[in-house]
Amino acid sequence: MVATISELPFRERPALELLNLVGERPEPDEEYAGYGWARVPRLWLAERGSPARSVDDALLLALHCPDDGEALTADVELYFELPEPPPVTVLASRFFAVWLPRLPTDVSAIVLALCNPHEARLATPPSARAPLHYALGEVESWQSRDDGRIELRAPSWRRTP
Amino acid sequence: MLLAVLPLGVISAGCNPSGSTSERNERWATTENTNVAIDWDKINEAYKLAEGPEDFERRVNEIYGGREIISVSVADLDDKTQLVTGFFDKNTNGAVDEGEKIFTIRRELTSATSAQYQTVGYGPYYGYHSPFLSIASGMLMGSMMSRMFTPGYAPMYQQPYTTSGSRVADLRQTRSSYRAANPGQFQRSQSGRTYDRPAAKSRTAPGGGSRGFRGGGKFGVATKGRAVRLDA
Repeated sequence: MVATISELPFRERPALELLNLVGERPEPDEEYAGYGWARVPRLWLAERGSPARSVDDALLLALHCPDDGEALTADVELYFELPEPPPVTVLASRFFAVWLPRLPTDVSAIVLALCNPHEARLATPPSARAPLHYALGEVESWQSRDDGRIELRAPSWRRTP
Repeated sequence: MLLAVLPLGVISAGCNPSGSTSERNERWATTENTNVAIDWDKINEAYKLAEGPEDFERRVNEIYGGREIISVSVADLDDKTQLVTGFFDKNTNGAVDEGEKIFTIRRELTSATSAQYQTVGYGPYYGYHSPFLSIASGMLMGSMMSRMFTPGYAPMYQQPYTTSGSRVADLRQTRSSYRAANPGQFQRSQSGRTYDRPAAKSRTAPGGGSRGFRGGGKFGVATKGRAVRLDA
């Protein structure tokens, strides 16, 4: 039974596994609920109307929002399915406060793979040591069959200072 | 609310001018682009019982199980005809624009003491047609409906009522409270997906198309059961 944010099983996982890019599927799996973190040397953020841009040396956090999540202007409700029900929700700000200090800090960027349907404007978490990249709208993971590059696609991306 | 005088509910007249099949009268109607089914019986009942447009839009949004708010436009086209439109106000301009409409309810007064209405689905709900639903003075109904049977009735919505932007925020709040209090009534599709997650066929790929790419995951999930909030 998970009773606190620090007890969440938020673990390091291989990047491809974390983004559900193991196996062949023509479209992203909408039921994918995996979460965790990974260090990635490079990934690409793609948005409508602009060429994808690369982000190097990133701490990638894969998280999920619930489809009926609270509409917040500066925060996002996170949703975690657990081995034992019930699932839990946590505000992203509180999650970052607990978990970012535990994660690698020698990175150049923090990238959130997290849907943000209410387009909350996030601030840099106090414990972050690198700019935070987050999406407005829904986020999908893709991988090029040609060169293996990982893309996170969203309607638009934002970067905190 | 008027008391029931006739022992009748809404009566299906069994007449469908569109020539649609019986499939179109099913209680649940979805298309491949729709992941949240709408319980049309409840929508039709909500219209019958509504005390006014604001009450109707509240009822509609409590029935709808998706993430979006359904805005409503109510317009009296003439002395006998009212057209109610439900729509996703995607551009938040408070008007029914191309591609936003999801249903209409057309009500027509057929005599001094009777009327009928029909609901038709659009966009993702294209294909749904209710039967003509008959109503008569004295039946159980809300004042939005019963008003037309009053002597000296004059249409109230020649200048249409439309859900305002501020009202959308109120509706979202009201619905959140309703869902929290009624978790078992929250309607979810079999897939558990919400409507505004585009179906695979309609997905746009901002990175320049999905050709040459394989899909991974999506980072929003359909909730499964009641979640516990952790604050510390």
